[in-house]
Amino acid sequence: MKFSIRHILVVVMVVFTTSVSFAQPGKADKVEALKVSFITEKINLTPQEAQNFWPLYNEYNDKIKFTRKAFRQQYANVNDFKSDKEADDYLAAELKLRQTEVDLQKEYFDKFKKILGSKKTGLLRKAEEEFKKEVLKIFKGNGNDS
Amino acid sequence: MNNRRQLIFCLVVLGLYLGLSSSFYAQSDSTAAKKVKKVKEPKHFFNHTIFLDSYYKPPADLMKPNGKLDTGRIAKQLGQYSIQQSCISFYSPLVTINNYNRDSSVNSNFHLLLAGTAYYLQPRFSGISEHTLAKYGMGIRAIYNTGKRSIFFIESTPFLTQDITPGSSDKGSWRMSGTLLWSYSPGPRFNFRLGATKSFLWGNRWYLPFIGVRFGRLDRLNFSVQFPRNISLNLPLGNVFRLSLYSKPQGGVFSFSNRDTVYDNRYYKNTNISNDQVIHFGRYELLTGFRMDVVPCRWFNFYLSTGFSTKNGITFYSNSFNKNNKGRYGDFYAAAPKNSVFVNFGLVFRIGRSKSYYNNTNMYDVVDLNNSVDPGDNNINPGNGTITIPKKKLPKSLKPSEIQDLIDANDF
Repeated sequence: MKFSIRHILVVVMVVFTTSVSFAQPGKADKVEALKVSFITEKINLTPQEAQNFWPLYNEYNDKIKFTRKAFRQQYANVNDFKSDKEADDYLAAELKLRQTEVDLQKEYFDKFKKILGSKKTGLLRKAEEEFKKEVLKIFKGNGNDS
Repeated sequence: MNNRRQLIFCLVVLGLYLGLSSSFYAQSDSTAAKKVKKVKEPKHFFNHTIFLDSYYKPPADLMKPNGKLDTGRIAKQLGQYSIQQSCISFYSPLVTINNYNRDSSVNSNFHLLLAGTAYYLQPRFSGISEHTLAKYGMGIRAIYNTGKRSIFFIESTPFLTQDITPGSSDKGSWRMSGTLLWSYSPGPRFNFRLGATKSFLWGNRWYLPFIGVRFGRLDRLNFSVQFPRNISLNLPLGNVFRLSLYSKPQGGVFSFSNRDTVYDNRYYKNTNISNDQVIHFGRYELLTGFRMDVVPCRWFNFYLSTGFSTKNGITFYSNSFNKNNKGRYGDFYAAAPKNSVFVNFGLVFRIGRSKSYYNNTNMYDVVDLNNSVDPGDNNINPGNGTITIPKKKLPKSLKPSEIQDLIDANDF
């Protein structure tokens, strides 16, 4: 089958319009990337600190993310509970989620402190909170007030 | 016949459109559609990656290497030359071992990947029948990131080249390409690579040193020279578009059915060998141009590239004449097609989840190394679409699904 430039252009246009129209899932990644830039700016890491810190921070972030995702997948579509047991399971799962998050924070803050020291680890937490506020501002600006 | 081709093309485009649409739509609404299942952390840093590449060069006259038109017997027989190639390649992580030292200050990791390629080349000579030359390769690559400054890379891809034109009696020839590299980064803004490669990219069997140097971070403007693979100036234009100005060789050595008697023993009386059923076709060109990568999301990107193809060369090698030759093949015909433009287009799909490596410059180098040395010695780079370009501005609007991993209900 012979392809002409016209055929290639049609394929390019189809792929381009499709990808631009459905590019939404990438935004979450971009927010994540922006968070990384935001933190980098705020805590001013040396190249050595950055080299050691970011792999660990990504690992910590992934663990938090996938713990939350697991919980969300289980309960995202649940709007009502058919029994007390179901509600109890939900409450227990939520407490377990919080506990897991706290355990992870404890574990990783200790690790961060070994690389960055306490001051920069404290600044990291502050930067994370500040970034959250920035994101919330935009989110609320969309008319998504909760 | 022509209508049938048009119909097939339309169906392919429609399939592509529907496939892409549904996959993107499924991504955006995944939480609602999926049933409850356990979410596991990803094991690997690499996604399963499939990339398709298409390349076209219009017809050009064949010249002798000194620039004069080749009026020899074979040149007359061959006529004008054009080329079209398409390729589908993949790499897939098999094993990832991620280690921290005791105080968690050094993160080293080892990656074992399966890589493969199916490559189809159609060199079109106006004077002889059409040939479709295939190359099928499958290999293993291992990458060890020490977590400090060094990365070690080894890959080997045995491949089969075969003239798959209907009626061809070619049973194929096995070849092996491979690369061994040491990459060293004193800091994120500078990297050099040293190693060796066995490659057919320059239209013959070459054992070459691999010498690479990069100035600039991989997620920002950088200039990279990776001999013998490419020279490139890479410029990220925001998070979605990435522009690259580059120069790279492209080529290979392929089995070529001698049914048109390109190799005719009567003209080589001193060689005491019979006419070959199959000969080898070597081809190379130096592509210089620009490439635009569009990275709308982590799961997909595509690229469009165009420029000039210069330093073109084609060669034919007799199979039996080179039977015991362990070094470079000796040719019985060589010519230099005239310079021309080229068009190149590619799609890259990434499947599955992967560990995050934002701002992890060692991992950026691991990813770049893996992409620079593609499976099957085709020198087709899927691009560093998974290396996130630092962003300065927050998007103007956000949906709950985009921030759900950052924000907790109690934060409102």
